[in-house]
Amino acid sequence: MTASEVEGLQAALRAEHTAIWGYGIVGASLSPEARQSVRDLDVAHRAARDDLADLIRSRGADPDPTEASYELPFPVVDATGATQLAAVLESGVARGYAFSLSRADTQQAKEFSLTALTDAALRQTTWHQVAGIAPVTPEFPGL
Amino acid sequence: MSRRSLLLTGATVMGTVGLSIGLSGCEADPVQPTQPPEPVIEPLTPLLLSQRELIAQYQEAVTAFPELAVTLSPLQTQSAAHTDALLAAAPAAAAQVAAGGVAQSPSGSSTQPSAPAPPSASAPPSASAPPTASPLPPADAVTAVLELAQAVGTAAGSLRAAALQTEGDLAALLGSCSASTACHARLLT
Repeated sequence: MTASEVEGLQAALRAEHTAIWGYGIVGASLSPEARQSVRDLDVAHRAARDDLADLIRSRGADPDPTEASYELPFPVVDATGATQLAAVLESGVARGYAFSLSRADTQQAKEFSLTALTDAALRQTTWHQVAGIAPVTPEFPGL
Repeated sequence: MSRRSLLLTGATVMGTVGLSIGLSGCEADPVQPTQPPEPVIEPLTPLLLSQRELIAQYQEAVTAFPELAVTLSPLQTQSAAHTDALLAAAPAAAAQVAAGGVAQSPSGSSTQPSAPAPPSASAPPSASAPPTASPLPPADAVTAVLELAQAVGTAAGSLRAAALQTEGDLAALLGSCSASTACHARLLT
């Protein structure tokens, strides 16, 4: 385990912080029926955040804290904008984990990063389907 | 001629032939028999060959069932992009693939390598054959998609395994390709 690995995990953690904040915006702009799936995703991202924090602490470092707020890439005023934002959030999470994977030198960090990268790509695909974004599947998620 | 002398004569002849073969095969060192070097297969070569077979399988399905093109062609294009990126990132494996195979483009056209590989090239045996999909074409579109879904799932697993055995930027590229391919598998099932 190296400082480089911790740097990668911190990047993934910051991406999870952003996603958790962003899903609050997404949920507020969707119908009540759609909010349950957003709540499920929020729970998944919070679990990943906590796992990342544990991994970072176990390597003798302090997890990077969340920011008070983040800048939206575009205004979100309706459900269409919300689903597009969700896809962007998952793309950002994938970037964090791809970076983490490139910096990992323990099998634990590699497997965690790769599994989370795949999960983010799958969620991005789902949001692309909902938003009608083509291509549906990301070609190089995280890169 | 007695049986014993016949055997001795035969042994002498065989020994002479063997020696002459040995001498002609290795003039620099007539004592040591020549051994062709063991082919060293690059770790990503089998993966790249499988990727090409997967692209060929996509093409076979689209050719047999054109109505699948809307769904399959974007996935085929992305798989081809994955393969191109991996070929660029792993030049040693790419050279082995190019030396032994026939490059299959996403459109189905084939291009021969600029120089045919000699029989003694140190490419793996499987690289000498062009990428082939299933031995029999699928009976119907549903079967074609099911077979593709299985192949794509296997490809995602292979890419994942390779990513976990690699480090640095190549690990990230393999992981990204694995994640994208897992999305393809999700769409096909």
